[in-house]
Amino acid sequence: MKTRRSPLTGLAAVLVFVFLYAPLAVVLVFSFNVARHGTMWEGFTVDWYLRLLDNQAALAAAFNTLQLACTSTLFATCLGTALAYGMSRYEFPGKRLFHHVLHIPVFIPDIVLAVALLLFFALVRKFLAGFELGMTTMTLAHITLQIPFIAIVVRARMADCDPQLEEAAADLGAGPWLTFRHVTLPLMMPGIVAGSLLAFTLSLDDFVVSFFTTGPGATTLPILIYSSVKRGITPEIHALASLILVVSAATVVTVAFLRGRTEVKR
Amino acid sequence: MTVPSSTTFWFILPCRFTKTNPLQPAETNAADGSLVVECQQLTRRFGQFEALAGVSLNIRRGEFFSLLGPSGCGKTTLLRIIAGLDLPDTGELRIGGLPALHLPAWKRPVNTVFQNYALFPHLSVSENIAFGLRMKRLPSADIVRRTTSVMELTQILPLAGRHPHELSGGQKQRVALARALVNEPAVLLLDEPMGALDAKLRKELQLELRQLQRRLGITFVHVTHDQDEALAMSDRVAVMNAGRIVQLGTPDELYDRPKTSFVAEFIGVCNLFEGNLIRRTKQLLETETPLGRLRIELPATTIELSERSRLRLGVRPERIAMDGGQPGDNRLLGIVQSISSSGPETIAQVRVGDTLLRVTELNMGRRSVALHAGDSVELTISPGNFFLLED
Repeated sequence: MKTRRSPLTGLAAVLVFVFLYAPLAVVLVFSFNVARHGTMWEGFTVDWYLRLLDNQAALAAAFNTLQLACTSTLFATCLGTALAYGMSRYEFPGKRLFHHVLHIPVFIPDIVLAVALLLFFALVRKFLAGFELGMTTMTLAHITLQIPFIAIVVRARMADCDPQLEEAAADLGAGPWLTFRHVTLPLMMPGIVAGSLLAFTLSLDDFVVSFFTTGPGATTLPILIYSSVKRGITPEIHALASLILVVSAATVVTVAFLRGRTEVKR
Repeated sequence: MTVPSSTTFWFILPCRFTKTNPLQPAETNAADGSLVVECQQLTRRFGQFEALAGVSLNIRRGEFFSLLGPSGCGKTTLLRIIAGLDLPDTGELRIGGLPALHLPAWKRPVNTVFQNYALFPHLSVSENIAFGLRMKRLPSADIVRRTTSVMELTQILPLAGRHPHELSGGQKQRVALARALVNEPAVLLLDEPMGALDAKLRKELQLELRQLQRRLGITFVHVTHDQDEALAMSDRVAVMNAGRIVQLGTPDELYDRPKTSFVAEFIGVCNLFEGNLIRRTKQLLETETPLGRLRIELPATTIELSERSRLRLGVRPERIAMDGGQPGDNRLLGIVQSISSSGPETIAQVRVGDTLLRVTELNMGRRSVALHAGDSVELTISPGNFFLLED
């Protein structure tokens, strides 16, 4: 049934899009601006992007960011998936409580998690010589940040799967490993992929947790941008920010696409 | 492409198929009296609920066996225990003569057709069917050959490349059946396999399933709450209630000689009443009942029940005649309370004394009795048409 839309609905939509995307659009547009300073449009150029390729600090930060995101996503995906599997297939005391506790890292402000992790790493350093802040601590921190997101997404997917399918596999002669390998894992896979891509973008964009848990030499793109901005905003920063934006957006769209496809199948 | 939905007879399949069929034809392992499933005193509790209260049961090789009962009677629990998907609290289970309780589901020589089919949504029809053989690591040529022949047998070859979400209910049921049969199980377990299908399709599939079972000679253990389905398909039926087997027998035995009022009322419709024994001569009893004085003839097997003075008696509605009957029948005078036709039969409620009797008569093309409500009618019941209940 079609209902008449109020003209206010259209206005609200426009306002939402302006609020959400105008700042991003500005960054994107100015990354192609010839002018080095100011807010005047002086012509189109891709020069700032080319200059990034010569900027050793930016390249090192980009490499760090990707390495961090890939490593932490890999570990967080394994742990988060195992967690989701355990929580949906087994009963244990305190399961409900644990279910709620799992959501806490999703809701608490990043800054609280960041400070907590920093304190924790400082404590570990007291007992473990050679445990310095740097890539390792940042990776561990990101894994902590990502696990709940992956577990929640995979669990939602498993809740939609009929547990009787695993019984059917056993009935057809598949032992526990073969059942997992040929039935459970393929059914979980859309959730695993969606969850890990989500976690990947979280890591890619993260500033607060990285800033608190990093050490000398381990600079990521968001940290690099932050420190550059203190010395004045340049179009190079715009270019860098635009690249991060494009990668994140592409990942999110992939997630949406994968989800859409599995919805249709069922 | 669609699979013909009409009933097709298995014996018109080409001979070539029967020769290469890995599924053995019936002659080699037809019912030979040996036992393929033996249950002894199985019990199972879920918290306070007693799902099985000591079930002992033997299933013969090659028979079509049904577990029949209302929901919650324990029939599905018993099936899951045989499959290895659940374990009893106490009791013993043998499959093919060997103890089976220590075997996990995936090592037992049984396969199940699940109630909701439980087809793997990420696999095609042929991959679903090949699953069991792949798990056993058979050579891929054998897998293809056996998968293809079982798909021919169940008439789903044109569906091979489809995914479960592209199938109708009846097609899913065939795929689930094929997926189980391809493994050539010693016992095929069917958990309400027609539960999700409409009535017409159900009738067709009942017939097909029965013919398939006869042809292959595989032992079928079938769980259902539908008494028509159990009677139509089975060699033997175990009627279950509250975790126990209340009666086990052939469909005819259960219908003609129910032992308890539960079985009598669960299987078919019946008129139950009580009577006092007046005199007994051999198999012929004379009783005083609310319907009047009745002569009852019992088979020798249930004669010991007539030792009691108080008898619980029953008679099926279609064993009461309204057309005059035979000499020697019991004759009762009643008044028609209501009369209606279901198409094939006329159903009448007739008051005899204070008792309301249900009477049905087949419409054989001669409406001999054009009766109306309020008419008086003479009912006749042959002495051999009564049954005696134990409870």
